[in-house]
Amino acid sequence: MVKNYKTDLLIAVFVLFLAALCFLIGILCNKSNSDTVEIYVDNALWGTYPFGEAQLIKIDKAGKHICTVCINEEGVYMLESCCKNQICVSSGLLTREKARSSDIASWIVCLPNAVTVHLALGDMQ
Amino acid sequence: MKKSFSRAAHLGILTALALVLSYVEHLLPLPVPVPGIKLGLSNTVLLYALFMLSKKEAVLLMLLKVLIQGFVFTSFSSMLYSLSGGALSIFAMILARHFKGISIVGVSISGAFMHILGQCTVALFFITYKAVLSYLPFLLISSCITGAVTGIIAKTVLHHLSGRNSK
Ligand SMILES: [Zn+2]
Repeated sequence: MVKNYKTDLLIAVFVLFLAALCFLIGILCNKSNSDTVEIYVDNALWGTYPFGEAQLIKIDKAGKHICTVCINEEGVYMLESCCKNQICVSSGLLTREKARSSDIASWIVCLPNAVTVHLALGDMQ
Repeated sequence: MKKSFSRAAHLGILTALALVLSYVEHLLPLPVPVPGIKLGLSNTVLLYALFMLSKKEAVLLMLLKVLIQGFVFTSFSSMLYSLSGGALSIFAMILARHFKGISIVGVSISGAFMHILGQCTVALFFITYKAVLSYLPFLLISSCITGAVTGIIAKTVLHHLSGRNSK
């Protein structure tokens, strides 16, 4: 077995470098003008909704109800979903503060249903 | 004939072990804010197969694990994710093993990295690239850590096993 970990470290550094690169691209990609809730279904934009205006958005696929997204004054959350793992429902309320804290926190993802909810914050000073 | 029976039994035990390890992980999620991050403990079994048995057995083990897990515990779409992740990961680990300077820890990190890449590639077909891009940095950093941890575990296990064999 190899005792020198130089190459192992090099691999780790390469992966971390890629992570940093994706992080930067992500920041550049996710800019918008005002606070909006974007819902994507199957890789396509399903709709854009103003943040803070209370409403229920029911999502269906081929006539079959999949899930319900709820927007209220404080944030947006997955009210219910037919998916098996319920990760989307348990991820809870997505607030402005949460979305501001990091790029990754600005998403609610339901992989089984291919539904993603994004809180896009307007340019902050 | 006898040898092939013992190989089949060996492979069966390893498959069961890999399945149990991923089930235990499913029951005890890691305390991280991002859902879906796993340690990938079953990768230690895969590493064992790759280093102690053969390439063929490691590939077979990965396929068996993905298929059984897909049919018994999860859905078709999640099977697609784990298949692409598993296939790329085992390919990377076989490749990395051939390089002289890379230890089992480096092999494990390469595997974890390609596992993430494979899954994210499938994700691109289903969800918006913006979401994938937001998750990727976190997933890559975690793959570095989990890959190193499972690699070190596998290294320790192999060390003890080879010690016992030589005695
Ligand atoms: Zn869900």
